[in-house]
Amino acid sequence: MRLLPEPAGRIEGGRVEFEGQDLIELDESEMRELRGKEIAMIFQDPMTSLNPVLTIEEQMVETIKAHKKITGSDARARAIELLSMVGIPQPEQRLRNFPHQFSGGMRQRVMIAMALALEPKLLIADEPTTALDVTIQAQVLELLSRLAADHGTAVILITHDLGVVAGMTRRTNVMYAGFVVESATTAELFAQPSHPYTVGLLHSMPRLDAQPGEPLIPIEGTPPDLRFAPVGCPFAPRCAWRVESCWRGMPPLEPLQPTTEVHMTGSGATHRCACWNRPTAEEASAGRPLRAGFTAAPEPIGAGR
Amino acid sequence: MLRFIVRRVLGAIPILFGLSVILFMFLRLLPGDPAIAILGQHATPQLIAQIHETLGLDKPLYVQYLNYLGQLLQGNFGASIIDSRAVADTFAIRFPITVELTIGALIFAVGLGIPLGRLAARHPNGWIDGLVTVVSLFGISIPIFVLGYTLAFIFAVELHLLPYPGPIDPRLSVDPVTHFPIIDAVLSGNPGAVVDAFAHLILPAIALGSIPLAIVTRITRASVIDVSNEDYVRTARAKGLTRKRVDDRHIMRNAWLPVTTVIGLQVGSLLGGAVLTETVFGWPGVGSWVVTSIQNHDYIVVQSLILIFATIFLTVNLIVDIGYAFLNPRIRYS
Ligand code: SF4
Repeated sequence: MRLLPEPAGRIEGGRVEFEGQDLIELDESEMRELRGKEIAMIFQDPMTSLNPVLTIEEQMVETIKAHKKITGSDARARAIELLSMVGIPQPEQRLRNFPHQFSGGMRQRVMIAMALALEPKLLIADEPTTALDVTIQAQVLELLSRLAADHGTAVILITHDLGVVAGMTRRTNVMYAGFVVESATTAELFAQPSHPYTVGLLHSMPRLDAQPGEPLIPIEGTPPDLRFAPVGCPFAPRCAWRVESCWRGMPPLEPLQPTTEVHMTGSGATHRCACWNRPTAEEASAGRPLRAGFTAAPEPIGAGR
Repeated sequence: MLRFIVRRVLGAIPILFGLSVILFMFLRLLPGDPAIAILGQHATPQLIAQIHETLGLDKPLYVQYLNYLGQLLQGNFGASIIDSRAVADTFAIRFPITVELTIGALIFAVGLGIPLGRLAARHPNGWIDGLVTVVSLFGISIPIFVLGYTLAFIFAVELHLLPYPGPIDPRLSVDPVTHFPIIDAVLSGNPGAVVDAFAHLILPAIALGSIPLAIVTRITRASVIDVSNEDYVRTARAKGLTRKRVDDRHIMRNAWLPVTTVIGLQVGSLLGGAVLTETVFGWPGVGSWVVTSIQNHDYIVVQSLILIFATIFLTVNLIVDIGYAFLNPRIRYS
């Protein structure tokens, strides 16, 4: 979305394609037209994402008017329609309220209504429910998936909650330290987790179907400092499977099975993984390496981390 | 909201009362006898005693104070010892001049300070920001009388660009109706007089406004940078609003809150600064009146003026608080 201010937020390289157009190449005004209209975004914390001194009406109407030639009363009618669509009671009155008069869940509904105001093709939801109560989380997620389906809006859901991933998504990219380390349809990812980080995530989360007494296996260590580019695999310092080459080179994101054609998207997306030493299926379900005598390769001296 | 206002007004009363006591005591401790100031070299013990009696200075201090307070409560601020004119009357003539000067300084400070602050905030730590910082530090650290005389010397004496001193050229003999120099000039129907009155205002307004300008600039800069990092500003940009709209509506509406408070507080220091500025620029306002009254030991005038200034200061703060509540819906609705 190119929202982060420079110089802190910088695009290092690569392409960001949206409908065949590389977003990096757009100038600021073209990008602005895309924001909100084609690509909308909702954020993590609904308590701080709405402007406290403007009414909901002002904030919704300005969104609509930023992209559409429309009279104030039409925009207002649309805002009312949107609010009732996301399940806010008495939308006419609520429109005149300020954000602090709404609960967290309600504010996130307002955010969703605002994001969907122009029926965008893509909605990026950045941890949309992390700040909410568990029961509200479920309602908001249900609403989000239903509305996205109704409007034909694709959703990129950013979350650390694997339960949400399993329930809401069709395809998953597992990211670590800014890199996609595993990519697959969600069903396949859960059936056959192939990257040590994915395996670690699955084993550090309590599940209802776990065997009694089966321990949770936390991922040791802390995420790396993103300001420094890693040498080798970014997950290496925390990985139980690492081999010597992990310290030296970044593993490429490659299909699990050798194939001629790689599908990036859709229900038939190719399962890909970036790892030099992939856990086997047994190891994945055990959550640790099972090979006899295997120990994680020690950090080479002078690697400069 | 109404309760908020009432509570704040009631809270001001003990402050004013305490202040009147302190002032009364303090001024009696100043060196110099007013009777001598009035009589000059002709003072004889008999004459001095006579004056003390007419002024009530021979009575015990608490009686003097109670008399004074009784008069105050009837809205009578007393009369000058020197020219026996009622303080309230002279005040009515002089205060508009001070108000005009203060408003001029405020317009200068706010009108320039907010754009400068926003400009500096646009690229924090860039060269514009650095320049603005240097200028505002200069504005804060330079004393009013140094800046005042320097401005007067350069623009009036050397370059003859602007008139000096006074609020208006006396040769224009504008009728004092409202005692606001500019309004009177407008009422006189003489366009030349209006231009002249404005021209007279420029230099003193700059001298008086330099400190508030610096402060308003700094606060605006800090406040805008602060608000720019808020999540809701990111939301506003993610909605595809234009930069101008994000700046004007989403950032400034919030950034205004601390800026208003500071502007309000500046009104108080402007009234204080007016004492110096009026003296430097020869404006017959309340500020220069305070100075001459102190020199004349005209303590009735001094204590009344300080009390009036304090009341104005408290009133302005009250208005600022209410204005703040009005700008900030989180307070308005609680
Ligand atoms: S095995 Fe090596 S490449 Fe794979 S995740 Fe671990 S450290 Fe990275």
